[in-house]
Formats: sequence, C-alpha cells, structure tokens
Amino acid sequence: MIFLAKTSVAPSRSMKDNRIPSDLTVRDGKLRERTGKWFFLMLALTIIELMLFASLVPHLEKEYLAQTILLLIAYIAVEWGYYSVVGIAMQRRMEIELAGFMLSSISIAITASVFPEKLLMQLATTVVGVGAFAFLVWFIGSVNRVTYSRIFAAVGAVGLLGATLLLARITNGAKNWLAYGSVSVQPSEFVKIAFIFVGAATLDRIQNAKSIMKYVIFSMICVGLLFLTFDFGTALIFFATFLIIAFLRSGDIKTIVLVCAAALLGGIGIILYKPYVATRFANYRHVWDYVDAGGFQQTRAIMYSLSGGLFGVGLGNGKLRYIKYATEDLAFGVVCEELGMITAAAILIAYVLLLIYAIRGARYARSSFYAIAACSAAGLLVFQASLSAFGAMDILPFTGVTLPFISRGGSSMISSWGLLAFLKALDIRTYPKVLRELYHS
Amino acid sequence: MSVTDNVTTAAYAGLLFRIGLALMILIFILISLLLLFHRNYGKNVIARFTNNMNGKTMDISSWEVSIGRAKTCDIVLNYSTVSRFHAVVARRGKGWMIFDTGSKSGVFVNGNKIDKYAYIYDGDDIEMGTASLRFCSPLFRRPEMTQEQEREAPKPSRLQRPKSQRTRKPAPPAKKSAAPALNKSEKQSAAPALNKSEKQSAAPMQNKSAKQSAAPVQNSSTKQSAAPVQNKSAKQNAAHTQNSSTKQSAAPAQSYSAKQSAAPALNKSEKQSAAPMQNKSAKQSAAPAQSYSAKQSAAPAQSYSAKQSAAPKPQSPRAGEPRTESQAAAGEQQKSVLTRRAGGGYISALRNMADRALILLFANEYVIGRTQECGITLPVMTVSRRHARLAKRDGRWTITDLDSKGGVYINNSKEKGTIYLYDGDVINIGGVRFRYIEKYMEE
Repeated sequence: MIFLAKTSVAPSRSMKDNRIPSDLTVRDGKLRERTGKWFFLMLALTIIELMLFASLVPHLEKEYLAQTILLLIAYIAVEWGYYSVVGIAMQRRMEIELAGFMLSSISIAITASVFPEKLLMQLATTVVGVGAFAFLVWFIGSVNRVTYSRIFAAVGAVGLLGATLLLARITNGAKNWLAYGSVSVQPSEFVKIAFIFVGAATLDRIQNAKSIMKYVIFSMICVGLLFLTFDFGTALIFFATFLIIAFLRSGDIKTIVLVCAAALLGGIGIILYKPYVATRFANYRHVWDYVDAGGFQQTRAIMYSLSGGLFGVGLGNGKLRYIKYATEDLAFGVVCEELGMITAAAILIAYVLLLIYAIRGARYARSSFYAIAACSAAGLLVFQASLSAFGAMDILPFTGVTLPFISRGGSSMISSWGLLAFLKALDIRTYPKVLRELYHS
Repeated sequence: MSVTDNVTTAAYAGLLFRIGLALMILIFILISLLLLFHRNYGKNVIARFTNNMNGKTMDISSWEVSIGRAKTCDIVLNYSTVSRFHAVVARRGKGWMIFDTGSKSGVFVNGNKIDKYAYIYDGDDIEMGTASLRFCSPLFRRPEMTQEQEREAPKPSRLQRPKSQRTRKPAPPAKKSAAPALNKSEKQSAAPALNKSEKQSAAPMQNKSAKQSAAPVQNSSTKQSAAPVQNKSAKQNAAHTQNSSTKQSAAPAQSYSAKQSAAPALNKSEKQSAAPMQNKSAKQSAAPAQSYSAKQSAAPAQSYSAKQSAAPKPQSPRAGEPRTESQAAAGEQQKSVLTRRAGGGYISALRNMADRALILLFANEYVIGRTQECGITLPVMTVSRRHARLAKRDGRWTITDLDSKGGVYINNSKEKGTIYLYDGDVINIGGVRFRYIEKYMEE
C-alpha cells in the first residue's frame, strides 16, 4: 500500500486475527451493527443544544424570538431525522456525524445570538452541507466511480478558481468571494474538496511515476491562482494539503523537504518583489504596536478571549461579537469569550482526534485513495483550524481563514462537511455491502 | 442585601450552567470521536501469493498490494528482471485485478501479457520478469467453473441438521447410576484397551478402517433424538454396530447436558447407567469388534441395527447428512461446494459462546491450540499446545483431534478422528465452547 500502511504482507503462519469486530454481529445471516449507543449520544447532543439555545434566548430581540426558536427546533428535528435514517434505518455508525452536528450547533448558536436575521441562511447551508456529506460518502464508496471522475474534478477545480480570479478582478479585487445580492460564495472552499479528490489516488496510479508529475502541475496551478487572488491564507492551506498528499503518495520525506525549500525560496522572492504581500504580515508579533490599526482584530480577540476564562461569559454576553467579521475570522475568539476556553479547546481537540483517527485508520483502508483522502482532509482541517485560531491570537500571522464548522459562512460549512465525508469513507464499516464482500473473500 | 443575594445566586447559577455546558461539550466530543478508535479488526487474510520458485507463501490482508523490487513494496521480488515498481494487485468490484504500473518486462497472467490491467482468479500464474507467483483466493475462481458450481450448489437448507437429527429439548440429566466409579474406570481402562484391540484386531470393519485412516469419520452427536435415523442405515452392517445407530439406540438414556467438562463424564455414565449390563456384556463379548464409540449398549444396538438394515435407503437429500467419508462416498447426493457467486456464498464461523466473538473461517486450515503460532489461539491451560485442526474437506469443515490431552468434544461427546461439522454443532476444546455456524449469505 502506501507509506503509512506497510504491514499488508505477514508471514503465512498465523491467521489468528481472522475475526470480525465485536461491535458487529451476524444476525439473520447479515452483518449488523450494534446501534444502541447512538441513541444516547443523540439524546446528549439534544440536551446540550437545548442548553445552548436556552442560554442565548434571553438576549434576543423580541422581533426575532419566535423565528429563532422555530429555526432552532427545526435544526434539532433535522438532526433526529438524519439519525433515524442513517442510524436506525440504515444501521450505520454515526461518530463523525455526531461530532459534525456538535460543531455545527455551536456555529448555529453563535449565529442565532449575533445575527438572528442570518440564522435561516446558516441553517440552510448546514442542511446542504449534511446533504453534500451524504452524497459524497455514497459517491466515493465505489473505487471505480472515483477513478473515472477524478479528471472531471481536476478540470472543475481549475475552472472554478480561474473564474473566481476573473470575476474577483472585475468586481472586488481583494477578497476571494463572489457576492450576488445577500448570498456570498467562496468557491475556493469547494475547490478544497476537489483538490483532495484529485490528489488521492489508488495504488496503481500512485506507483506510476508519470502521475505524480501531473499532480504537481495541477497543484501548482491551484496554489498559483489562489495566490493571484490575494487569498494567502487559502493558498497556504492548499499548499500544506499538497505537501501532505505528495508525502503520502511518494512515501518519501526527501521529496517533501525539497519542495518546502523551493517554496521557501519562492516565497522570499515574492515578498521582495511584491511589497503588498509583506505588509499583510507586518503586524505579525507586533499587534500591540498597531493596536487600533493593523492589529485591531488580533488585539481585541486576545483581550476578549481571555476575559472569557475557562467557561466563558455566557452566550450573548460577549463583546467581541461587535467587531466586524468577528464571527468569520475571529470565530475562535468569540467561542473563547462566550463559551469558554474549555469549549474552544474541545473544538481543536476534535480536529486533532480526527487526524489521529485518519492516520491510524489508513492502515486498514480499502484502497490508498481512502487513506490519502482521509489523512489530507483531516490534515487540512487541523491546519486551517490552527491558522484560524492561532492567527486570531497572533501566534501565527493573521490570514483571515475561517474556522471549519464554527465560522459563520455557507461555503465554509459546506466544505467542512464535505471534508468529513472523506473521513467517514475511510472506515469500511460505512459500507456494509463491501464489508460483507470482504468477509466472503 | 437581598438584591446582592439575588445577584450572587443568579451569578452562581449562571456560572454552574456555563461550567456544565462547557464540560458537556468537551465530554461529548471526546466520547463520540474516541468511539471511532474502537475497532478490533485483525488483519484478515483474503488472498495468498505463492512464489513458485521457492514455495514461500505470502498472505495478503489488504485490498491493494504493490509488487516490485523496491524495498517499499508490499511484496518485494529481489530479481533484477523485476522493475522497481512492477505491478499492483488490487481487489476491485467483484474480484481481483492486476495492474502493470510501468514495468519494463511486462506482466504475464497464465502466459498472456496483460495490457495495463487484467482480472486474475484463483490459481492463476503471474509472471513478472523471471519471478513467477501463483495467486490463491478460494472464492474467486474462473467464471467458467462458476456455472457448474452454481448448478450443483446445494440449497441453503442443507446446512441444517436433518430434522430427524435435530435436538429436541434436552432430557433432564439422569441421576448418576450406582456404579459411576465402575463405569468410569471401565471406560478409562477399557477404552484404551478397546482402542488398542481395535487397532490390533484384524477384523476390518468398514467403519473402523474408515476411522483408522485419516478420512473423516462419522461420530454422530448425542443430540440425536431417539427416533430412528434413516441415513445410518446406508452403511450399517447388521452384525456390527459401530456408529451412530449405536449411539442412537442409547439415546433415550442419553441426555444433552449443558455442562461442558462434566458433560462427557456424565454422558458416559448416563449411557452406562441406561444399560449397564448390556454395556459390560457388550464390552466383554464383542471387544474386538467394538469401536471406541460403542461403549453404549451393544445388545439393544444390535437389535436396533437389525431393524435399521431393513429400513429403506433415504431418498431425499435432506434426510441424510453424511458423517463418514464412506457415507459421502457411498453416493450421498449433495456435493458441498462453495459457490463463487459474487457476494453470495456460505460463510463458516466459530462463535465463542463465552464472549460471543465470531471467528470467521476463510482459509483451508486452522490449528487450534495454546501457542501463538496456531491459527486460533486459546491461551487457556486446559488447551494443549496443538489441540485440534480445522480443515476443509470437500468444501465442508472438519475438525480433527491432534492427540490433545483434553480431547475435542463435539456436542458433548468426545471425538477422535476427523468429524464433519454442521451448523449448530457445539465444539468444546479444553473448556472453551464454540458454536460452529454455517450460514448462507445473500449479497
């Protein structure tokens, strides 16, 4: 297989591990999950959400009260609907979805509290995200389907980024958004999914020396286009994901070191020739020198998050929310302030656990496609979360990338759920039909 | 004063609420994601490569295997004619495929050079450079064979024990007879004597010879009801009662006791108690002709078998399930072959009755024992180092006692030799009980 999973050939003496896991049973001649635990977790999730919503309701303006309560209940209904379809009817595991729901609830609670008029939009995009998640999980279940559609994903990714560049040049020039009326879309978020889709490959493709060259060219085009739209944060994220995928495909750390060195040289060259890029990072580690200018967002984020303490000041009592773009770029600070540092730590721990799961699960993946896709999706989530959280606190340069799931933003929510799909597809228990075939053979 | 009190209590309540909320969120995320790590898959062997040149076998337990000269490949072929990354064997869709990943000398399957990729099946020879590998994966035979096998494949019902042999409610355990010690000592002293005398005796019984050879020998279970079983008549000799009918005749006296270790002794004593006089006489009179299993009453058995021999041969496939090879060879109808129909097939497993763990049986042979090199390891002191062997004969699983100290008990009767296993049989090895499960699983 690939670098991470080297133990596929064992001495032929021992077959002691030929057994199915104890959380499956053979019932009515079919392999079945033991699904009681999801109910209790769903119950716990609902209780937490009710507590969240109860704490924000007292601070709502009267005009939005009824609508907000309705939408919040609708969200809980959507969760239970998903559980009854996937958890009960289809009898699948739901750990990843539960984590996704938990993180989405935090986002919805914050949106309901800060911008109740935009709650419907946020809720709608969450539902679309879950739908995209389910669709992707189904779509990449078949390795053949994946192999045939990778070329379309590549073309789509480059096309989307190119269109964004053209339209952004024409309209705004600074941000990586396409805005139509009240709807703003950030296409680079969707390109993330396509990027991983193209990068992850089955073993027969990886072993082909020519395919790595094709992938490097594709990645460089994507990163370059993003760079040209001045979205350095997303360009950095794509570059980090490219490094992860290239390492997993080649199994070779030396290549990665070479690529990093080349990138470093390129970065230095760009900064020397394009001063604008340098100014973006001029505030780094100097935010207190520019308290009301360049370091405005970071300093406020630092101050207010610390005032939240471990358990927060309570949803609705925070002050960071009044800063522009607080719920998008400084979402981590808002969570720190209003829900506490423990909650914020839990969010980051969630991403780290997903990464650990992806790395461990790569060993058992059906195909290197799933292993690479899961590891790079988890790596992307961790990298983006770090960039967002630490950038807001001036530990890393501030890049304005969104915190996956938590930040308010439709495209961000949809792409986060999409990345979760790669993680879910890694587990073969997601596909009981395939699992049955495995045990037949 | 009261205002500050209210404010303080409200503040404390709010703080408690926030503490609870934050902790609940943290714990929820931890639990739901740590559940992801709960997987106790082993590495299931799903295929095997045999190097035709030195006979080494390589087990495959992942769905994609890289083959080449490079050290990072899963199967390293250290021949200069093999490219660094020569080929990839992967499980795709309904079968296995081999991909030529830019090799210099190409990949030949059964002598034909493949163009980029090809399907491979069980028994195919794959040549890469000067290396030659044979691919083994029992359930993926070449399509031509499938049609025949599908036609001959037995219906799922054949997996069930024939109705006449099915367990009824177990009779309550009979009180131990007045002479259990006598019985046991008789059994112990007589049994080895019997066995030896068997081997020495020149009287070749059809069954005994079958038993002495390595062929699977029938020893019917004590679960059999008292009703006459027609299949046994197929091979009964009138005079000599060797096998199941013997046991069946004593069936009313036998009980299917649920206790494992005590069960065999209890069963024997029960059998003894049922017809003690007959046993002794049987032992004394018919010693050279008695098999190990005929500790039971031989006299009524003889009469019983006489009745048996007059009974007609079974016609329907369901009535007769062969236990001995001679019975099977005598032309019992069904051939038990596993179908290759993708996804559909028979799945055999042992379920550990203590912890309900399932051990699926894929490959052709497993050794059950205490040591690590056994296919199925039971780290219990009552299990011998190499206790028993599970092997597949004619598509059916059999178990053979490998001269273990504790013995192998099938359905509470100690069996030597090779026994066919049927769905529902309870195997007791050193106190560890397994239920043999064989199910037909549709796609």
